[in-house]
Parts: sequence; structure tokens; C-alpha cells
Amino acid sequence: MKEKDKEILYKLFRDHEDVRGSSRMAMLALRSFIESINDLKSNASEIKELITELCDAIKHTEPRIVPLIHMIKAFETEMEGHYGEDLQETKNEAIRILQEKHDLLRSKVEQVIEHGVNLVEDGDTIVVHTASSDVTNMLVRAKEVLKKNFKLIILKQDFVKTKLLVKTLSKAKIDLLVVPEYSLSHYIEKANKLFIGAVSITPDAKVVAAIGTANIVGLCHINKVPVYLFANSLKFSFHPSSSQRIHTKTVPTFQDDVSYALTTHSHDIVDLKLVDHLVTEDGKIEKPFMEKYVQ
Amino acid sequence: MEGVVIPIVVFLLVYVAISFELVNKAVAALLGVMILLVLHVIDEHAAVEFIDFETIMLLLGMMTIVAILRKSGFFTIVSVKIAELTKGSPLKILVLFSIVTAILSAFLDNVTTVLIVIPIIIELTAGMGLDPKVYVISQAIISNIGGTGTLIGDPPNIIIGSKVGLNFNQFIVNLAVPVIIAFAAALFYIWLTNKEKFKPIDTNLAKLFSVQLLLEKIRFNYLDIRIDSVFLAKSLACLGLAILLFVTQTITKLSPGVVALFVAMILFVITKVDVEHMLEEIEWSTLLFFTGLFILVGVLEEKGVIEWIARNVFLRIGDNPYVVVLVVLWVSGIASGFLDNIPFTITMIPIVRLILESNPIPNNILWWALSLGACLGGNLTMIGASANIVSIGMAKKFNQNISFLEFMKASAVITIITLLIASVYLTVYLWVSL
Repeated sequence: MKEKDKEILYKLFRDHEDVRGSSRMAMLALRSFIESINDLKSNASEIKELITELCDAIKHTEPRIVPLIHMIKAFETEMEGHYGEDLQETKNEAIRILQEKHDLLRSKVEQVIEHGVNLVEDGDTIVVHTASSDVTNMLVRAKEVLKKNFKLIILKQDFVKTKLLVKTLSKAKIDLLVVPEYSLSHYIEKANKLFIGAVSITPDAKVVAAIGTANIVGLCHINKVPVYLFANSLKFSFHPSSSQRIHTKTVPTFQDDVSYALTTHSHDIVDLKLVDHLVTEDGKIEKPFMEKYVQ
Repeated sequence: MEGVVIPIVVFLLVYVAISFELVNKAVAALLGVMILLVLHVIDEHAAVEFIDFETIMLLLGMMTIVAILRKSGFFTIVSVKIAELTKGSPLKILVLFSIVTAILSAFLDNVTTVLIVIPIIIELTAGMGLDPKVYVISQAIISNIGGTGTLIGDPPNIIIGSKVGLNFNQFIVNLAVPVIIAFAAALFYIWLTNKEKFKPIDTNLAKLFSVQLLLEKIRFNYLDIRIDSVFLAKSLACLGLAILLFVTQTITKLSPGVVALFVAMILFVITKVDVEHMLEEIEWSTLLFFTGLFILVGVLEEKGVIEWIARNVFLRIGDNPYVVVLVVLWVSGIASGFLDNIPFTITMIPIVRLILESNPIPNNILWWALSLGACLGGNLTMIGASANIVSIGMAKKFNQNISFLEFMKASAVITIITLLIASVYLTVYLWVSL
């Protein structure tokens, strides 16, 4: 696979991850993998090489989409015994395994949502930072199914993400207040919970999360607003935070008569110590047990 | 012909500057005009009279309509539909977009068509990791070929139709056959010379995977984010109104420029878009380039240079009808590749009348030769047709820089092929008619 094609692919990954969260992104990628295998025209001797090439590319995304990487590694291992002379049979096996991985991921996401819904209580004022569809679905379910009365402080990020979040939550008639990320300090006393999502959690107890999360978590921690992190165990990485391949971009910027090189990162790294509650498919993990659980 | 040296030298210098991209093309054209003004070759009042405001109005109006339509999400919808139809096959992208471009160019104007198609095709092909340049160049070429087929498809046809009194149906009946053959030949040539770029992707799993993600991204954006259905409905209604007014131009007597700018202003009012923001979307450098070019060619025309060339070529070629028809076709074709075909066509009309007086050629074949030459010849160079200039300008906005030579490398051969097709068609037509 050419470098240029990889760059395009990784950009697509980031774009999807940005608006859906990493678990939904991983599910989308698995569905796309299935569709691609369906459309593929090759012979039986080539398919292994093609699948390996794509799997390698997926395993090297910037940043690492950890749940997807786990699923792809498992897929590769399971596929080993299934490459045969019959192309259609190989394709069918690949599709079956990928579908199983997709369903496994979906069930874990659902379990996290089930646990998360119970953490929303009447009278809560919850700060929501990321547009992760897990957190969004959880809040919608808490309102529509459990009829919980709570308020949300939405931290405005880019137009697309904020519009998507507001559109979904407003539809569920959730009481919303949208404020710029940098204005949270004015509302911090009213908030009693912060909900965040993650791309991955690393063995050195760090969380790779959406850009801007580190500042918000820091502010909430200082003000003793409990931080809830929602992440299924497939987001636990085997690699330290320094190996999460966070994408950086430097662009020349011109403003009036001033020019400078502006460097941006695709994601933040947050210390797990600042998180008060980790919510996984196993339920709520309290702070003293968190690091051990992650490892 | 007095005082022709300075305008000719200035024109040639400007042409070299544009050809070799020594300076921005708008700056080159306007600097040429300024030199003529400073040297008192013309005064500013005369210069302004050379500007074809009809074309400028049409361009400005359509750029505005397209900018608002883009904001409405219309292009995203079209992208989704096209992308879904092509399933990421580069050849299907080329063919399907070309069919749409040719049809739209025949019934709208070429500039409008490329203004609509180019942003979509760049978004789609760049998102798939393909080289958008070959698609941009192909659509500019196809739009000029498609525009040749009808009275309203290309400015030279509008001029010939109105000045000579040929109607809409006469254009279709007489030009459809060579245009369809030229369309097929151009597509075949583009495919033949870029085979590597049109390789199917269905043997490449990684590409198929990327296409799935891209399609999902487009669907996601279209379904969940951008579309404001009321805004979209208003924008499409206005586009429909513009097309209706273009098609019924002979009844309403409204020029395309008036229609475009009128509809653009209606859109501003009913959609309540941020006017300042929308105006930033306009290709001002393209409009300035046109303005400068009109003045430079106008001066050459006023000094009698264009007429002198035309008369010395056409009135010395004898009275063999085959030779006359082919000379009109090829000279129009080559001249339109380097000069603006609008003033050229205007200059040629009295000359063709003179030829017909001394050598009557049946079935308006000489007019069809002028039309085919002036329209198809626009493909010869980047500055040969408005659609080419606008396409290149649009591509630049999407960070796709296409050089003069890069464009000509593909377009010159296609122009020769299409002019050869027109030659065969006109020869046979004349042989049958005599």
C-alpha cells in the first residue's frame, strides 16, 4: 500500500473517529472490511496477501484505534487456518469472522452503555466534552427510557461535532447549555459530573482522548468534579502512551503581517489518576482498583 | 492598420507570461491593459467598452449560484449518488461524470456546468486517492464538446444563432452527430493515455476499503450534518428557474448573464446567507482575467489586426467549397485555441457572409464549420475557452494546480482529433449537399 494511500486512509479514520468515537469507528471499519471483501475480485492465491496488507495498514493508524486493532489481530489469527483454494469459501470465512468481531464489539459497547445509564441521576448537571456516540446514546437512553431529569453543559468544539451533539440531545429533549470549552470555569460550580470517552487506555495509566479533554479533566479534578471515563476493555492497549502514534500536523499560518508554524495534535493524553470512575462492560471500577484493572 | 505594433507586442508578452505562468494570469492581462493605457494606445473609456459584460455577468451570477448551492449541500447529495453509482471505479467516474457534463453543457452553458461538476469530481477523486487533475481536464474538454451541440451550449453558437438566424433545432439536427462522435473519441483518448489511472480498484482490497469509508463519510455528512432541507429546496428551485430562463431565452429575450445574476440576487434574498462570506467564494481573479483579455483582444480587433488576418487568409483561398469549408473550420479551431472565441466569432461572421456571397455553399455548412471550429477549438489551450479557465481556477481552489502545458498536453491532441472528425463530417455533408 502506497504511503499516500495510507495517509488518505488514516485521515478517513480520524474523521470518523472524531465524530463517532473509536468503538463506533471500529464497528464501521469492520463493516467496511466485510463490504470490501464482498466486492473484491481476485483469485484464491492473492487474497491472503491482500487481507494481510489491509490489516497491516489498519494496525498502523494514527492514532492507534485500539479496539479495532485488537479485533483485526484476532481476525488475522483466526483466519490462518481458513485460506484455501476456494476463493468464495475463504471470503465467506473472512466475512463470518469479521461479523463475529463486529458483534462482540457491539455487545461490549452496549454493556458499557447499560452501566453508564445507571450513573445518570435526577438533578445531575453533567459536563459533556466528547461527541462519542456511546456517551450520547447513554444520555439519550437515560432521558427517554429512565425518564431521568438532568442538565447538560456541552462544551462547544468544532462546528460539526457540536452541531451533531446538540441535534441528537435536543431531539431527546435534554436540557442543554452550550458554552465554549474555554468558558467552563464559569460553570464549574454548577457541574457535578464530567463524562468523557477515550480512544485507548494504556498500560502506563494514560488515556488517549479527544483534543481538549486534558484541560477539561484537569479543571474538573481541581474543582473536585468527579470524572467518569466510559471505555470498554477492548480499548486497553498493550503499548504505552508514547507509542499511540498521535497524529501531529504543522502548517504555516499567516495572520496580518505575522507568520508562524502552527503544530496541532489529533488527540490529548490524560493521566488516568485524574479520572475518578472508569466504566467498562464489567461495571464501575473505582479509583483504587483502576490501574490494576487496566493492566 | 496604424499603431498596431504596440498592441501586438503587448498581447504576445501577456500571452507568454500566461503560457509560462510567469505571473498570475489576471495580473498579466491587466498589466497588459495598463501598459496600453499608459502608452495612450487606448483611453480608459474605450477600454471599458471592450469588456463583454454579458459574459462577466454570467460568470459572476453562476459562481454565486453555485457557491450558495454548495452551501446547501446539493453537491454532497450529487456526490453520494455518483459515488454510489460508480462504486469507486475510476473509469465509471470518468464516464458517468462526462455524460452528465456533456448533457449539462449542451443545455446549460459550459461554464455553469464545470462550476457544478468540478468541485464534486475533485472532492470525490481526491477523497479516493486518485489524481483529480485528469478528471478536471477531461471535464473541461467534454464541456466544450457538449456545448458545441446546441444553440445555447456555447457563446459562439449563441452569437451565430442570433446574428445568422439559425434556430435551436437546426443546431441540434446539424451538430449532434459530430458532437456525439467527438465525445466518444475524446473519452477514448483520455482513457487510452491514462490507462494506469483508470485501472479498476476491485482487485485492490485496501482501495475498496478506503472507498467504503469515504462513502460512509459522505453519507454520514449528508444524512446527519449538513443538509438544511428548506435551504436546499430554495436553492434547487432557483437553479430550476435559471435553467428554465436559459432554455426559454428566445421567448423571454433575457440574456444568460441577466438571468444568472438575477437568480443569484433572488437566492441571496430568500436564503439569507452571509453575503460577505459567499462573495469570498467567487473566483475574482478569473473575472479580472476575463476583463483584461476582453480589452486586449478588443484593441487588436479595433486596430484591424484580427480582421486583417481573417481577410488575408479567407479571401485568398479560391472557390473550391471543400477547401473553403475546411479552411474556415481549421482556422477557427486554431484561432479559438489561442484567442477568445467570442470576439473571433463576431469578427468571422461578416467574413463568412462575404465568402457566401461570392461562393454560395448549401445547407448553412459554412456556418456549421465556423461553429464546430470556434467551439471545439476552445479545447486547444487552457485559455481557449471560458470553461477551461474556470475549471483550472476551481481546481486551484482545491489545491490542484494545473499548468498551461499540463492542460495542453491532453487537450491539443483531442482538439486535433475532434477537428478531424468535424472535417470528415462536413466533407461528407457537403458532398451529399452538392
